[in-house]
Amino acid sequence: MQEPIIRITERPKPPQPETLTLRFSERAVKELDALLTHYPDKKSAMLPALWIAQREYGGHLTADAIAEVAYRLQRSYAEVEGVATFYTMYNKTPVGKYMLEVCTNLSCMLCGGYRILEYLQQKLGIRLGETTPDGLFTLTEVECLNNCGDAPVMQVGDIYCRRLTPEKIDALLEQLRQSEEHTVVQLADAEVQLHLSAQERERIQQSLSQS
Amino acid sequence: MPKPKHAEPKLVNIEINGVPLQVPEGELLVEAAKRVQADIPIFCYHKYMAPVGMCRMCLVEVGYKQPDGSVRKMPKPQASCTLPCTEGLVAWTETEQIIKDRRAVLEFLLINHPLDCPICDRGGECPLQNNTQFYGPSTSRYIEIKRHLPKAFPLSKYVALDLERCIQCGRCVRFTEEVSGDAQLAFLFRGAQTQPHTFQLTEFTSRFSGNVIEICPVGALTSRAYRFRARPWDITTQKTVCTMCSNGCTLYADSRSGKVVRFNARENPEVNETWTCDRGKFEQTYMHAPDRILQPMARRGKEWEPLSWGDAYELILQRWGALSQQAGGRAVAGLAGHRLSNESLYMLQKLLRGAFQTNHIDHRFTRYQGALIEPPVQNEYRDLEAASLVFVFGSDLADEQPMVFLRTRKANRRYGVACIVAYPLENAVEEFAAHSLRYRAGSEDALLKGLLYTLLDMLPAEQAQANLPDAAWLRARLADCTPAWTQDQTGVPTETLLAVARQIADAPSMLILAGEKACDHPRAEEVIELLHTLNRLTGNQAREEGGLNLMPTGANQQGALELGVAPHLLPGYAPVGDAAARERFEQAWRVPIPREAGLSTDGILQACLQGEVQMLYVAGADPVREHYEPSLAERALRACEFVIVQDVRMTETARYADLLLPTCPFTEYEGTFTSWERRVQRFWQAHPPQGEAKADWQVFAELWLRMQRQAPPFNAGEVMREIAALVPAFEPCRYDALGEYGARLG
Ligand code: SF4
Ligand code: FES
Ligand code: FES
Repeated sequence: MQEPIIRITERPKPPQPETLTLRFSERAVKELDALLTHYPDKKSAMLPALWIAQREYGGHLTADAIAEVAYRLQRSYAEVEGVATFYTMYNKTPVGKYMLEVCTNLSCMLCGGYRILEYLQQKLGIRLGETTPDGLFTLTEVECLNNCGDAPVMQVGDIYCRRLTPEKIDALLEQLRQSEEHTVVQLADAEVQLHLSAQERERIQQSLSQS
Repeated sequence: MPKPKHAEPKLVNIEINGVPLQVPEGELLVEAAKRVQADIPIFCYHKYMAPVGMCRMCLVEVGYKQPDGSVRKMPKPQASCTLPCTEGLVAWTETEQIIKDRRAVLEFLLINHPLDCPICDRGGECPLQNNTQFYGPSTSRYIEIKRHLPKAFPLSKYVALDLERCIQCGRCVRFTEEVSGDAQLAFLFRGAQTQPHTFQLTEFTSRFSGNVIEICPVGALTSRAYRFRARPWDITTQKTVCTMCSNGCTLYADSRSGKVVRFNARENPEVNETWTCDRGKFEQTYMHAPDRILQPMARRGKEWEPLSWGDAYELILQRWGALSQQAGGRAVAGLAGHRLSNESLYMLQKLLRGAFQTNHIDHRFTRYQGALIEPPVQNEYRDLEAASLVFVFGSDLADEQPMVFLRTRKANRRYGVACIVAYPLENAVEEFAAHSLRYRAGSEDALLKGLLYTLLDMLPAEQAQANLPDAAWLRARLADCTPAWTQDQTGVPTETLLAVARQIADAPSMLILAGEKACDHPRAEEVIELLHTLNRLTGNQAREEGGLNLMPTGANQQGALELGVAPHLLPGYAPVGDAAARERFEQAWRVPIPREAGLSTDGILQACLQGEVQMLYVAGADPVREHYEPSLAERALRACEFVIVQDVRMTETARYADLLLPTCPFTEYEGTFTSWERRVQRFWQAHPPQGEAKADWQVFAELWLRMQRQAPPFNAGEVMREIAALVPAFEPCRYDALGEYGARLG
């Protein structure tokens, strides 16, 4: 057996657990601990744990975020990355503060979903999947948001904007520009809270205010 | 529940393509179909992994017999790889419906699969190619652009990944999760973009990465070393056995024009199933090393002078002639390596004992060179699944015994066998072990003492007494070894020690795997004695599925013990001092054997230093590298007057030789090896010998002929016949009786 023919430089080694930088806040750790009690094994908490990570890492899952989740759930890095890349609501690349997710599925399409999309592209000066240079808006296209009665629909963070018209969009963008919120992080947080029971949320709140 | 060792499965009646047959209940239909030669094409199913039903290639039509004798057919075809056989199952594998379904599945799989078979390593042995040939459509209706992804992406030193070719069967991903346990591969993305990959494209560092190459049903995962070296049709395949450790994995050696181009796993359900480790698969290259010894050579000052085999033998005889006049056999000694075949080892000790009249012969280079009287291993692979607890002691199992590691992991995963590991460093067994004792290196004896102390406390007194008649004495001896003392000595926390002792005390059976840290301990003698005590105290000495195993490391180290390459043992563990045993061999060999036990390795080396041993025959061993104290070996070799080194390549030891004899590596001759579980397995010649190399046993046989004037055996099979006639345990190992999966020594 001779030298391998493909002589591309060696691949980087997977990170060692000791070298990971863990960035979960105290609150995040408490939330994860509470979540782990819901399931028979740690693996099952992967989806909510990824939501926590998306929130903690400012709106998208970096390699570090994935590694941290894997470390905390004692799963392999690749497995967590596989899950994170399977679901479209986990962002794998940096996104703006406001993610505009326009529905172009059947009902919305019939009611002008693509026109809305086009209008937004023009207005923001970006194409589908891109983020404005000021880092505020990211424009994406999504499948049915389960709100066909109010088509065309767009999701921004955890709210739905219904029966869209260009005027409504103008107003909305203006309003968003003024606001302080980070809707992507907010959505992630909302998902996390959804997984926790009222008592758990309260308990976490209390223990945080004490310390 | 651990798997009962010899469970009788319940049989059920089924029918496949109109042929009635009986199969064990729960056997998967895809396996049952093999019994009637019904060919069901598959992709994702693998015999040694859990079925997932991902590819739908194995669809068949299925029905069930009703009480009134009619058959009720299921409305849709079923995946036969996920369907367990139950009473009354009826299956059809070749109906028109199925033929159409297979064609559809294949057409679908081929949508994105590139048609680069002419430049694909898998071409000619590719399941996708074969299935398409037999069951697929001959044309494609897909005219759009295919998916494009990176090609020939190096995942690791050994494995290249071609993402375009992947058909997402999940075998590789499942292998890393289920079998090797490192879960380094996962499917990223979804839909048509799904790709098996490592985390962030980092290196695939698994110890067992080579297996994914073999199980990939397409050319997506290929070997970097084998890439473009050969085509399946210009390869000759020969059955062989791995020589990189004592686990005895069966392999195929594929060679092209007299060179091995790759090793693939050969199925053996008793041993390696269908797996190999990377060391055996990729690092086993010494047979083509540039420093092979190609002809006999004698030292003339600083130079090597080539000799013919006849002259080489003559030289040995001359030396022996001079020696035998004065010191006699006491001045001759032999050291054997771990890669010699059983036949070679037997012939070596026969030559030394019979012709050179010496019992100075050994194969052990570790610190433990005690006078063993029985096999140091009690168990076999299967027992790992039947035991209730496996205790890995002083071994980095995945590294020292890769296949034992895989089987232990399987036992744990599949049959819930508990595991405890004691090793000073982080190790792979910890992933699934119930407890890990990371003791301070060197404190093995203290740890065992502490454990025994605690166990004596925990076990009911009568039970301890029954298992170990000298329990009271032991208690007195270990009076100070309290858990607190143990923590102090070893760094293992008291609670962990107590928990481990509790688990051992409660386990119905325990199998101990003792590794290098135990067998090569500075106080190995004591550590091993303590392990034996632990084994007896817990009653596992007498159990079939439990027991103690001092794991050998070299490929045929076990065979060396079995065949009397030890100063105090004749073949079959017959003590040299036993006159009756000696007589048996004397009669067969027609020559007397010296009565006293000889020197062990250390003794031999010391004797070389003192000038007592003047002729040292080193066959296939490299004491300078293998001995625990290399400098001792080096000095001894330098001091010894006449050193014969018989080896495949120029080893460190060969530098001190006076006579060099070239021998064949395992791919160049045939014979048998004995693995750790005392399983004797055959290997065959894969390619002709290089240069003038001869098989070791043949060299010994030719010397035997010259010295004893007796007809030597003419082939390895004859040597084995001689062994079998003398050592009853080897009776099932005669070549004509030795089956595909080898036989365990009784
Ligand atoms: S790389 Fe091969 S084994 Fe892995 S999923 Fe793809 S086709 Fe299957
Ligand atoms: S199609 Fe847009 S919400 Fe259903
Ligand atoms: S082999 Fe049965 S579904 Fe793949």
